[in-house]
Amino acid sequence: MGNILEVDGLTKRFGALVAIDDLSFSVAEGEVLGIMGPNGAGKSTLFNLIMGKHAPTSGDIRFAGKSIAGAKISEICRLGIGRTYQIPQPFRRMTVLENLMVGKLYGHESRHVRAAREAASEILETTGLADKADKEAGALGLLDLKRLELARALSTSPRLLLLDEIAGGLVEQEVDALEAIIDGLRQRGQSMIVIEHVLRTLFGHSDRVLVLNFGARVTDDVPEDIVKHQEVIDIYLGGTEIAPPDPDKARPAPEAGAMPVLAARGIDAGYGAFQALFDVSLEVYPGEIVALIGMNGAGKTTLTRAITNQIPLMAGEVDWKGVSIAQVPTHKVVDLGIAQCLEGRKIFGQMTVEENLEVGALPHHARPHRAEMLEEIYALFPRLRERRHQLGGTLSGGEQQMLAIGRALMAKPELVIFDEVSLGLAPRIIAQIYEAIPRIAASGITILLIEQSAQRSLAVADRAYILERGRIVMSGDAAEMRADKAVQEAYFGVDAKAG
Amino acid sequence: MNRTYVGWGALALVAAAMLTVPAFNDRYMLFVAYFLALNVALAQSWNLVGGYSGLVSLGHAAFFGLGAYAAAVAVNFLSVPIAVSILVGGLVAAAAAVAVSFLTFRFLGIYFAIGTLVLAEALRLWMVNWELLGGAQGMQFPIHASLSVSTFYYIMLALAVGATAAVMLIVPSRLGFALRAMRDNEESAQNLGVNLFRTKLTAFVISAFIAGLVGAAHANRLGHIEPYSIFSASWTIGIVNIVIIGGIGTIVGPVVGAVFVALMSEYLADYASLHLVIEGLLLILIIRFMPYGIWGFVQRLPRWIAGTSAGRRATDPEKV
Repeated sequence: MGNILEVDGLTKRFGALVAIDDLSFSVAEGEVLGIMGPNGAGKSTLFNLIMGKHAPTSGDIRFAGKSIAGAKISEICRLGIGRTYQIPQPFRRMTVLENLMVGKLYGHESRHVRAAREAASEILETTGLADKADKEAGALGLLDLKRLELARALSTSPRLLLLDEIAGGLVEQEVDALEAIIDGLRQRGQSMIVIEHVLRTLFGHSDRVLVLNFGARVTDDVPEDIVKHQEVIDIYLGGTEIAPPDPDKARPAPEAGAMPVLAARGIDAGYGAFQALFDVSLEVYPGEIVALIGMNGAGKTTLTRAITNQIPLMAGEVDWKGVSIAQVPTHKVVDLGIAQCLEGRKIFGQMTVEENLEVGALPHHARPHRAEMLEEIYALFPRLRERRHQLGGTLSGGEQQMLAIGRALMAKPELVIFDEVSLGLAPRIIAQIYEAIPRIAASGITILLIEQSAQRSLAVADRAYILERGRIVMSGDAAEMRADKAVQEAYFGVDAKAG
Repeated sequence: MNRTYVGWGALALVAAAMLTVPAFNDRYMLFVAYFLALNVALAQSWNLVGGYSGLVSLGHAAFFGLGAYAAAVAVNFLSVPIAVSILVGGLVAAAAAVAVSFLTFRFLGIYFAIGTLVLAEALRLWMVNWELLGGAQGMQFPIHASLSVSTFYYIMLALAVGATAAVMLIVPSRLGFALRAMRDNEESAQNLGVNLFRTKLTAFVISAFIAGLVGAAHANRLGHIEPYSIFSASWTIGIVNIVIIGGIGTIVGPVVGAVFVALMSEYLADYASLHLVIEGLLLILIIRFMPYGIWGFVQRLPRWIAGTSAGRRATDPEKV
């Protein structure tokens, strides 16, 4: 059996950003290759390159021996590659059956509508959509949309299938339903590349797992052994680039018996029928740095949303200084003294650095302190002072992150929630930002630090919680957790010693 | 299958009823019916791109006007019969669609709409200044070669029926699947093998061809054309209006919309200033409460009454 796909020295740059860095790998006919890597590792970009959405900057992609680098998407489809998206992209105003007929008519050259209808009906059967055939795709629930995404990718009868987080956002029974379909495909010898953040699911399907970080290949191995590689552990749990905690942090230890500023008790939350958090409880005491650690999709951002009342709770309660905030609307949460530094930065690109910061000082209690806060933030991040008159959109990723942190602090919060502040940044920048966190805490602000990287956040935190698939699986003193091997297993949600 | 026969039956029935209009010997009625047919034909042709392909072109008047001028040139300079001049009008408009496609298809979404609008306006200004084709004075058709008012009505009716039939044939065909897929999600359509450029071009050319035919036929009936009115953006706005009121992306919608607008003009004819205000207000209400227009609303009514969440979600404009 030959290789169906060969990727050779593939590089993709977007401006200064290297999304895929000299990547080489191959997929054998009938093989299932799993791909793992932290957010921003380049997984989806890799799919976009293989499928022809982006042309490679350099390097080659060969499908069944033929170079497809730079070919049109529709041509690559006809050659025999199909893909699904993490967020389903259906034809909303067409029925489920019609969605599949498009693939039959254009991807598989059955030019007759009637023949395409029959052929598409067969796929409905194997993907569990038979009873939804005539339903408009825009009216489907998430599980059915995911099924449709998979069914439509199959409608072109691809020789190679690219699955991007097909189980993402689904609850366990639903994941099982999709896994059964994928297992069926695998048994039929379907070649696949699978991106999946739930490692149990990924390992269950894959013959081999390739690990990416910063767009480059880290290593590959059979699923049983992949999380034993030190490089892989370092990527997820964090390397040693962050200095251990400063002994003279000069912060008062939280008083024993003090009331937590923020307490979540038994929270269940999610989106529609999809539950993302299960009985999550956590407490943050005044002056503390608390880390909430988990992989992609563990429910970290959902928890932030639940805490700040952006989504309704299905159960449980969130208390701010002992009082439930269930009735406080989102835009008023910041007035309580809770500021958020959101994942993805979300700065105002068409406003200057200083204007961005000033917008942060909107709460009434913060307005009189605007000038002094500006000075504090410029002291914290001198880069921002240098760029104060530059438009936010022209800053580098790291500078934007500093600006986002600064903007959150401008609200003069008592508690600030940092959501994935290191996401997609170069190690040097991450180190700068992590250096600032204890200094922010030293000024009397309580910090909830939400992170993918365990080692990094444990280095600065006082206490930590580990979230895995919507549940708190471990919590304790950060220094102790740093030394604990069990953290690794709890984090990955798989037994690293097994196999 | 059944639904297809019902559709064709309904089209035949309406066409047959419309054929009887000249028999009433009422010039005004004939005039109203003529414009109804013209609006249906133009609206169907726009709906093919704007409604089924997601290409919201605001330059449709350009193809209509080009058809008109092409017919005038063919009749005056080449002395062709009217039927041939109409065909020439369609072909010239189609050729223009090919010519601008390489430029306009680079624009996406709102920029496509603006780009086509700008091109059409530029063409209008060009024609105003092009002395060879009469400049602002426009062009005259020889009176001796003209046809009777009823004959022009039959021609326009044939174009309306033909345009509707063309859409009815295209939508359930292989091409129709590509158009609708492309409208709903361009990238997904490409992933399934749809060649975007070729598909857009096909829809655009067919649409322009029909608009050109209609423009050519109308020019012949007018006997005199001038660039300001024949290239006026109000043609485009009028038919977009009709399609949205009737039901964008449906076959019956343009017909319902054209009838609705015709009736409104009749009943509000005595209140000229109020007419536009009410039409604007209705448009806002329809966009807000019936995102798929009158016909789309009627289609979804049973589900809506049943109160299923599916029905409600499907009429949610944000999901379109």
